[in-house]
Amino acid sequence: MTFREKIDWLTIAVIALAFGWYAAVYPWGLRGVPALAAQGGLLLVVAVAMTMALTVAAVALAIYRPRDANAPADERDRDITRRASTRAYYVLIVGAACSFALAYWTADLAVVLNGLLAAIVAAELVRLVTQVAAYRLGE
Amino acid sequence: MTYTEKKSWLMLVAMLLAYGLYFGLILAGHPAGYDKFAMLWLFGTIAATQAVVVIAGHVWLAIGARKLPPSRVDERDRAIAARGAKISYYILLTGTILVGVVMPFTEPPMKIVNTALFAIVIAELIGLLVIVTSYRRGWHG
Repeated sequence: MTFREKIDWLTIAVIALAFGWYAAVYPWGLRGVPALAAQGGLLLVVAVAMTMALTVAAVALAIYRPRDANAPADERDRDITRRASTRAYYVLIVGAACSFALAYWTADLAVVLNGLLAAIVAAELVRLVTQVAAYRLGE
Repeated sequence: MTYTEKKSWLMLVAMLLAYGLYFGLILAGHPAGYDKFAMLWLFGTIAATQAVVVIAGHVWLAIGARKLPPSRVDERDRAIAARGAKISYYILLTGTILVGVVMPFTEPPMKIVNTALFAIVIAELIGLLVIVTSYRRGWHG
């Protein structure tokens, strides 16, 4: 398994855990300003935890296999990245448009924020899963 | 200039004109900046006009392309399209984080709606700009 693929798997796991936790502890009954305050606090925890987990794990992987970590992206890597980003882009654009409609109809910023977060997480997961699938299937 | 490149130019110019007008009116103080019905009316009118212009342009380009030898979308066209989409993705991702994670704490809903729209438009415009410059500069993956 290449260094890039390991990083992709790691990021999938960290995103799934972080936003799974966010969805589990978020007070879904709240509306308006109290909901925004809860979101602000939870997002801060998620951002710090994700940054720390990804940085520590990436550094550990790079120390374990320095040659793999320093290898430049080849034509296949670039092609896989471009294709994965294209799919993620369409997911994100649909998600952003749906959140845009949600903002228009509900005018509840907490709902909009959760909609946009869901769109970002879904797009990133599509990008990462497409990349690992391409590496696994030998595309 | 290839047929695919002409289509990209068409979409780029149509988007630039349509949303240049939309955001220009918002900046000039049009009620679409703070009233949701005015916003829906203005956005709907401009988006529908843009769609009609793009469809008419595609028909015109297709009629013009009948005289040329048939060409299929090749590997380079796909690589250029994917390159544009990749750059658009990161721009939209940044815009979405700004709109979804920062602005709800500081800005009113209509400003968030218009900024979200602006992020989508900028991402698409830069993606199209990357596509046309890739063709112009002979980028081939």
